[in-house]
Amino acid sequence: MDPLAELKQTFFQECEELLGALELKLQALDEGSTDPEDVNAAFRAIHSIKGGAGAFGCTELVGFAHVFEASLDHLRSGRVAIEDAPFTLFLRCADAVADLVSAARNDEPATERPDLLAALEQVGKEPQAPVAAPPSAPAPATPAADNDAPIGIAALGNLLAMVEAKTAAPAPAASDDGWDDEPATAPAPAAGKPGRDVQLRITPEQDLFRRVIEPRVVLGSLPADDIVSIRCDLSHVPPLESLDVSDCWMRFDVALRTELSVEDLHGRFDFSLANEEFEINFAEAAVIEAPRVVEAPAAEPEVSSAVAADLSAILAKLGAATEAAKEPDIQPEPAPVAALAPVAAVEAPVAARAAPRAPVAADTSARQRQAVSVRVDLDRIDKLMNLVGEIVITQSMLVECVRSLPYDVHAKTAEGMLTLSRQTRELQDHVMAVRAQPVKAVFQRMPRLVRELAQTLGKEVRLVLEGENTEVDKTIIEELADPLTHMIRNSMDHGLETPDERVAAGKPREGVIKLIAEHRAGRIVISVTDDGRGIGRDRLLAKARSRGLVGSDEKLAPEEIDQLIFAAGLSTAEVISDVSGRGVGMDVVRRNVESLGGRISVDSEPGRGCKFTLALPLTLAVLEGMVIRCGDDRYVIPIASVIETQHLASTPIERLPFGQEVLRWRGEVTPLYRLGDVMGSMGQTHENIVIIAETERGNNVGIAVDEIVGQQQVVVKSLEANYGAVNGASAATILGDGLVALILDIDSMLRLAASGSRPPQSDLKMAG
Amino acid sequence: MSLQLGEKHFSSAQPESAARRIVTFKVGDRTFGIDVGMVREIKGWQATTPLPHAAPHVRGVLNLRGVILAVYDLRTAIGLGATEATATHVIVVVDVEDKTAGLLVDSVSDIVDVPVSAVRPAPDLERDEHGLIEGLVLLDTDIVALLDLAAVIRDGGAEAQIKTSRAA
Repeated sequence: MDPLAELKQTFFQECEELLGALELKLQALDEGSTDPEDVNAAFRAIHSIKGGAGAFGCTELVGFAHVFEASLDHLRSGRVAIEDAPFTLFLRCADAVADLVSAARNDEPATERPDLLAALEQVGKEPQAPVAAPPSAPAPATPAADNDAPIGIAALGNLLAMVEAKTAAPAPAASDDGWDDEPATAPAPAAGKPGRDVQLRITPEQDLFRRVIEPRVVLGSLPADDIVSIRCDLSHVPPLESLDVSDCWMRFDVALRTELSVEDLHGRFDFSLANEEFEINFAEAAVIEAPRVVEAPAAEPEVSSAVAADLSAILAKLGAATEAAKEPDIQPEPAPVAALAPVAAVEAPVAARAAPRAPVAADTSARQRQAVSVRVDLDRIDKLMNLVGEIVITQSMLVECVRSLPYDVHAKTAEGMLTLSRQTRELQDHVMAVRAQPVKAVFQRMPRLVRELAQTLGKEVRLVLEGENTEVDKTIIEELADPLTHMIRNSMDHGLETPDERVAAGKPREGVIKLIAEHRAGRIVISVTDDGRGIGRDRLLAKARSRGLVGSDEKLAPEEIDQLIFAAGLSTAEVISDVSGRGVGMDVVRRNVESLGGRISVDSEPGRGCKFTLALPLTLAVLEGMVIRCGDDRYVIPIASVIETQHLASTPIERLPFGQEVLRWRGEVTPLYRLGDVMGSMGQTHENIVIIAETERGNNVGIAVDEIVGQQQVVVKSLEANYGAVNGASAATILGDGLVALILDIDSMLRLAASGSRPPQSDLKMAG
Repeated sequence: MSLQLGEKHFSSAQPESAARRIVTFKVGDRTFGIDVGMVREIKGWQATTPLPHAAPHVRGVLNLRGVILAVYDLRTAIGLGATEATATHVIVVVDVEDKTAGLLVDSVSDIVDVPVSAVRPAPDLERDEHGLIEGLVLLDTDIVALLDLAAVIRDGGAEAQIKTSRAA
C-alpha cells in the first residue's frame, strides 16, 4: 500500500474512535449531563475529524463537520445553555457524520443532509441579532480543552488543512475554515531592546529526532527575551508519499537581538547540535533584514499568529513524544511536524512560541499517556501468543522432567523452576492483556442502530447498556458486532410492540431493550432482553409445520418451539422489511456463533418479553484448567466452570425413577454425571471425586471423576483444524508429557449425556 | 524414528515423467501405496488420546510438534479389526485435502516409481463399497492397492462398523 493510502486508512481508523467518543459524550449530555468537559470532548472529536477530512480532500465531510462544530461551539462559549441544547439533533448529526466518513472511506458519493444542516444553522441564532460568531478552535493557551486530542493523523490533518488554507488563500480563508485560534498577542518584544542583531541559521541533520532531540529544546536554549522572530523553513520536506516521518527536514532562521557573544551562543547549542548544524551571522546586513522579517507577519497578522499557535502546539506535542521516546522500546512520533510538507515557510513570532511551554510541563503525564500507545498488527500479537503458548508447554514438560530426577538435583533446580513458571505465567497474562478489549467497542455502535430502527419502525425504545467494560479478546470483539446487530434488530422488529399496542397491553409506551455483558464460567455472556410480546409460538410452529421442519403430528414443548427461531428459513414477520423478516437472521447468527465455539439460546415468556443469550469463549488461546483422570484418560475442565470439588463417598447420591443420578449439594438437587460413561473413557473407572461445575445458564451439575491430577494453564489447541468437532470437548491441549488431553465443555457434555440415552445414528443404520 | 528407504525403479520403457512415485506399506500381508507427495513424515508409534464416540478407525489424537492431529487405523478401516499397536508400528503422517492426519500401519516397505500406465483401475469389489482403493499396481509378486486417503479418513469407520455388525 502506498504511504498516503496508509495514512488515509489510519485516519479512518481514528475517525471510528473519534465518532465513538463523540456519540458517547453526546449521549451523556442527552441523558442530562451538564459537564462542560463533555461538550469540549465532543467538540474536539468533530474538530479532529474535520481536520483530517480536510487533509484528505473529503469536502462534503469537512462542510458538514464545520457547521456541526460551529453549533457545538455555541455551547462551549455559553451562547446556548447546555440544558437547552438539541442533543437529539446532535446525535442524528453524529450519525450523519458517521455516514459521511464511511462514504469517504469507500469512495462512495456522500448523501447531502440539507435538513440537518439547516437545523444546525438555527442553533444559537438569537432572534434579535444573528451573531456570525466564527467558531474558534481550542487555543494552545487553554490546554485543558486540547490535551485529550490524540497526536495522530487527525492532528496532522488539522495542520495540513490549516497550512493549505494559508498557502492557497490568504487571510480570510482562515476564519472561514475555523482554524483561527485565539490570536496570540504580544508582537516581538525583543525588537526594540538594546543589543546586536544576530541571524541564526539552524540546519539540523536528518537524524535529529532519532538523536532524541527536538526543535523545542534547541530553540528553548536561546533566551526568550532576545528572540525577534523564528522562521521555520519547510521547503526541504519531501512530498508526503516519500516522507519518512522519523526524518527531520526543518530548517530554522532565528533573528536575535542579543548581548550574548558568539561563544555564548555556541555554548548554548553545544549539547543539542553539532557545529555544522548551525551558523551565526553578525553581519550588519542583518540590521536591514530584520525589519523585513517582522514586516511579513504584519501584513497578515491573524494568519501568522494562528499558524504560530498551531505550530507551537505541535512542537509542544512533539516535545511530549520525544520525552516518551527516551523510555526503551518506544518509537518517537515526530510525524506531525515532519509532515508539514506543502508549506514553503511559516512565520512564527516569539510570543506564541513561548506561550504553551508552561501547560506542557503541567500536562506531561497526560500527554505521555497518549504518546505511548502504539498500533500493532494483530498478526504480530498472534505470533507472540503462539510462541508464549509453546513456552508454556515446554515449561510444564520441564517441570515434569525435573521431578523425575534424584532428590538432590531436583531440590537445586526447584527455585529456578518456580521462578520460571511464575514468569511464564506473567508473560502469558501480559500478552493476553494486550489482546483484551472492553466490549464497549461494539456496544457503542448499538445506540445508533436502535435510534434509527426506532424511527423506521415507529416504535419507542430505550436501550440500556450494562457491563460495557467487560473485557474480551480482540478476535472475539470483532465477531460480536454481527450477531448483536441481528439480535437487536430481531428484538426491535419482532419483539417490541408499537407504542399503542403497548399501552393497550398495559405496558409503558416506551419499550426497553437491555444489552448486558458479563463474565460467567470462563465465557463472556451477552444477553439481549426486551420487554415485548415474546415469541409467537403458534405462528412459529405453524410456519415450521408448513415448511416441513416439524412433522404435523409432532408435539413440541413450548421451549422447543422457541428454539425453532434458530431454524433456517423461518421468519414470522408478516411484512418483509429492511429490518428483518427475510428469515436469514437468527439461523445465520447461530451458525456464526457456533463456529466460534459459542452458543446462543433464547428464553421467551409470552406477553412479557424475550431474552437471547450469547455465550462465547473469552479467548481462543489459553485457559486455566483442572487436569482430571478417569480410567486411563485425562481431561481438562476449565477452572472457571468449577465451583468446588468433594469426595464422592461423603456425598449422598439418589437415583431418580428414570435412572438419572442426583446429589444434594447446598440443599439443592443437582444432577450427577459419571465422566467415564459420558466420554467413553478407556480402562476401568473408580470414581472418587465429584466436581461441582457451572453451566452457562448458571445451573450446577456434579461430574464424577477418578482423580484430580493438578491445576495448570493449558494452551488451547484446535481439534477442528485437522479433525473436526468433538462432542463434549471444546478443544484439546498438550500436557507436560506431550500427550493430548481433551478440554471438556460442560454444556456440550451434558448434551452428549442426554443424547447418549438414545441410540446413536449409526446404530439405527445398522439395524436397518 | 525415521526410516531410511531404499529406492527401486520399476523397469519399464516409460519415460520418467509419466511415472508416479509411491510409498508402499504393509498391513498384515497386504501392501498399500500412496503418492509420495502426500507423505509429510513417517514416525514410530506414539500413544494417542481416544476421542469420545468417534468412528472405530479413529485411534485418537496425538501431538505432532504442537499440532494436534487424528490417527486413523488402516487395519480397522479395511475391516480387519484394530491394530495391537507396538513400538514397531508406524504412523505415516499425510496431508489430505487441507488437513494433516496420521495413518497407522504395520510397517513402511519402500518407495517405488510406477509408470502411470501400470496403474489399473480398482476392480469393482463388493468389499470396497466405500471406494477406499483408487487403483492397483502389480509390483514383482505383490499387488499394491493405491489408497484414496480422503475416503479412508471419511468413510473407513462407517464401513468397518457396518461390517462388524453384520459379522456379529
